[in-house]
Amino acid sequence: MNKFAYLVAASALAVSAFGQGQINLNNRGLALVNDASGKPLTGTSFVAQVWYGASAGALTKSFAPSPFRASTTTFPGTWNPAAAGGPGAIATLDGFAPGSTVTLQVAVWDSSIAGVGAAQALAKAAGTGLSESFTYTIPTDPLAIPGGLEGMKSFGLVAGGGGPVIPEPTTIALGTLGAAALLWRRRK
Amino acid sequence: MNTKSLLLAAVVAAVGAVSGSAQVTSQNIVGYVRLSLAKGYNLIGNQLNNGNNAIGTVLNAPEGTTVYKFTGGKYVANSFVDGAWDDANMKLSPGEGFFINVPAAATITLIGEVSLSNNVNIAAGYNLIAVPLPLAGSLTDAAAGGFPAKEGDNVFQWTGSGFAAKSFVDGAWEPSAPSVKVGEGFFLQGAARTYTRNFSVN
Repeated sequence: MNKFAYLVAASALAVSAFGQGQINLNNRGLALVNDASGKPLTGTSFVAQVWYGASAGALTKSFAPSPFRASTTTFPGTWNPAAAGGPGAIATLDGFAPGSTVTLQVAVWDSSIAGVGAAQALAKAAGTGLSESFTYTIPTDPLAIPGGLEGMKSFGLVAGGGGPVIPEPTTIALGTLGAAALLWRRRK
Repeated sequence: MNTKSLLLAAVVAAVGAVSGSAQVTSQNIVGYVRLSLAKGYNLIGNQLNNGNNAIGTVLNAPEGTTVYKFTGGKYVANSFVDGAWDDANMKLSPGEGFFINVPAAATITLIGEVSLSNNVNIAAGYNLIAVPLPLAGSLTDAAAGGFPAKEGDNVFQWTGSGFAAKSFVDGAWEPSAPSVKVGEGFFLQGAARTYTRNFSVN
């Protein structure tokens, strides 16, 4: 077999083994996510979800959400895609072959708040976060280690959100007084 | 990548039975491989057997390290963050190569026994492997790597920023036979086979 035939055979192997592109979903060492006060975000109830598609107007696919790290972490502002339930550190971009460019956007929200999810984050609701869209070109070299989020810029949570509304003791006392007053007036 | 290695002398323990009627001899070679890693990506391999070869027992990696294995044509990543590996069950067996990305230049030490009998399974296509013994020299030299090259094999060695390729064509390596360092991992692209590299104390 001559050298050209080997080259063709090698290319065929590469194509068959690497039909779909891979992406590294870690943001550790890259741009961080901040809370509403500007500090790097921590807390395992917060999650980041990477959305992707052919253009910023067609981000139709997403990976499973990844939790942020605990408050004691060495790497605040980063999420952990390898955590249980997450998509894994390196994932496959469905429908995107090596050499193609994919557009991405990251949505962040607090999963401990009922009724708050990706839809609220994508709508930039208070207490959630949404990155600017950015692109990633999947390397054609089959031995290249995948990148992914190098184009992401740092972003923060939208102010005004937070946890569920918990009344302060004074509010509870005032409410109780008001209810008692209403009952007293009805009886009269 | 500067590689410094030391293979400790064989530890041969001869245990004589108290009764004097029987004698049991055990042999094992315990050693370590010390590798100087540059900041960023380094392509290394495990060449010592460390029990279950779980990543936490094979590597004493610094905080922020990420290891990339290449399995089934795809990379799998595992990071050491906040004092723990994301996947503590990941194995790094003798003869297995892997990328290691360190946040700053570091020296790591891999400790274990020299495995006397080694079979590295090679699948058709790309494989990230290492010589399963801490030996340096020509990859195909029987006294060093002992690798059974086949027509059409391609070896890709990491240069620190890319790969240098060498091919086995018409019974010879071109442009030259690949030479490996102790602790070095490399890609092999070729046909499926079993890479057997045994070691004898005698």
